Amino acid sequence: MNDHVIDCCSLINLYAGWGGLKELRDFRRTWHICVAVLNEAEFTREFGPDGPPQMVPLDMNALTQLGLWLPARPETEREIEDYVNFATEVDDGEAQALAIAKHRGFVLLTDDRKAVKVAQRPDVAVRTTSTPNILQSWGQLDPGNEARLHEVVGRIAVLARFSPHKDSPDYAWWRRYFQA
Amino acid sequence: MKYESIDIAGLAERLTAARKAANVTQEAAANHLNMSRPTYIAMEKAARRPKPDELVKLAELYKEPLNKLLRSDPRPQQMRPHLRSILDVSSDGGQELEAAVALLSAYIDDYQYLERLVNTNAASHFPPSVRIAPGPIKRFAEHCAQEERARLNLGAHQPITTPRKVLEEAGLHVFVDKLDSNLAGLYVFVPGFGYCILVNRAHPRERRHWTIAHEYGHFLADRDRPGVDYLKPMQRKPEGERFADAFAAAFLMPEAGVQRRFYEEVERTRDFKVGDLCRMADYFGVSLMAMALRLESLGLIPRGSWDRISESRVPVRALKQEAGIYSSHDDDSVEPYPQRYKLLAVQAFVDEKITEGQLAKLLRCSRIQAREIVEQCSETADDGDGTQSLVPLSLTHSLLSDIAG
Repeated sequence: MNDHVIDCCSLINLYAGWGGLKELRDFRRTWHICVAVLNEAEFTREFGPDGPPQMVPLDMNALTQLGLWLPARPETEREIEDYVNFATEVDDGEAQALAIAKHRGFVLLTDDRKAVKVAQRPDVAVRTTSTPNILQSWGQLDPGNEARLHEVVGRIAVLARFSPHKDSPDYAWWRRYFQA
Repeated sequence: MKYESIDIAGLAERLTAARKAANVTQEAAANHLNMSRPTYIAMEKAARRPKPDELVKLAELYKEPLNKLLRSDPRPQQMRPHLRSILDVSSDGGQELEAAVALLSAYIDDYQYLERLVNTNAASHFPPSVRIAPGPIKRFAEHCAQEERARLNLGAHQPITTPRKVLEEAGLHVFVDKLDSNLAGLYVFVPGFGYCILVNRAHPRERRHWTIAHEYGHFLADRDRPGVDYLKPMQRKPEGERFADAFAAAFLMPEAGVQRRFYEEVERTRDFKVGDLCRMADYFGVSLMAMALRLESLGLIPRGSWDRISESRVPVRALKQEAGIYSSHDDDSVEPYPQRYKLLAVQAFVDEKITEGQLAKLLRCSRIQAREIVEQCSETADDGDGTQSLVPLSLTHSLLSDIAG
């Protein structure tokens, strides 16, 4: 399955790590993003010229126009029904992503522990992947990518303030590349 | 949880509140859903559950997160009618006040939601309310302020450098957010939850301190009556306002402390100058005007002193700078919600009861800022190999359970 739907938290992580998202094109996958995520102006951070990291607004429309992903919204009756069901538990962006992933068989890219917990329930059964998983795959695509992993993981940890949870199977891998 | 199990009465109330906040008529909402107005009204009256696609359309129309409309509350606290009465009694109403009421409503709603998620309740042992005694109101307010300072272990002389923190620890819920510049603050008592104050972030620190103390005076004297305070004083103040003003002055600038400080200065220099007034105002964390009027009312400087200072038209900032006092620009560091609210949000996130998106919305910040707040509320622990990792604090963990076991 090559279709992935990206949740907001992972989008911020990958943007901060790569300093953009054009690396998504390196994968032979189709990326989707929910309109609820597109409609929420979010921020990432970038190192300032001489000082501490600065907040940078993410221009979601500009990123969409680059053709990195396809905007998606729940459309069928079943998708809308499940979107509303999921929205009783998680935020709108995560709820849309879960509904779309469930009904279209997409993989959900998220680093949110509660969203993963919902996705793994037997009645939902959505396959998930994470920022560390994506970076591992990206590192295997090209030796040059592998060489950049220290830098990319470090940028995510420092700029996006993200590290996998200590209980995550990716925690040990992450620690190989970044230690506080 | 399934949508069908969401309490329909609570949902209907949230839909109604969201429509009003979005300034949408029932007619327009009905048209948006391509249904008759009576059918739409049936949804607001909890007689008809909206279909999922209708709910999605309404959330978009009202620009309200679907997740918030679907909070699994039993019926939300009847808080809004209390706040609505502010609008009813206020002749100066208007959109600014409507916006402030909506802001405070949202904070209270979120706070109650977090309390339910983390399964905790705010303090409910409040000081008994006071009945304003006949006779000089200022003397009575002075007495009440002394009693409250004693009850809160604030001493008889010391300034209260962080009145917000002191009163939050006493069980009040103090929110600080940007309001129209004419508004100083709002206050409301929500049964089963507590006394809530919304203070204007746009005002200087000294003014905010005054507003918090003033609203606390209202809490003591007339907590059942919600209200709004304006920057410009009313021409003829009712009894409750006069009490709250006098209480704020005595609470922030206790008579004994002011006199001690005043006579120390007079003894040292045989005089009391405008510069000394500036430094004393800074010491007690109040405005120059509040300090001057307090000294006047205690008979320490002549009546009309403040009038003469203000007539000189020298900006207060210039006077302060001349006295060596530089205002700190602390607006960015003032959090909009109480410390306890923040800790509850972090706890809910750490316990996986809310997602990162929900956390950021509850904390009114970006996701990265929300992650930083979680980090700040966590402790570092050694992993055993000399490296540090973050271990979120569990606020609900009992420190006495080991003893009990």
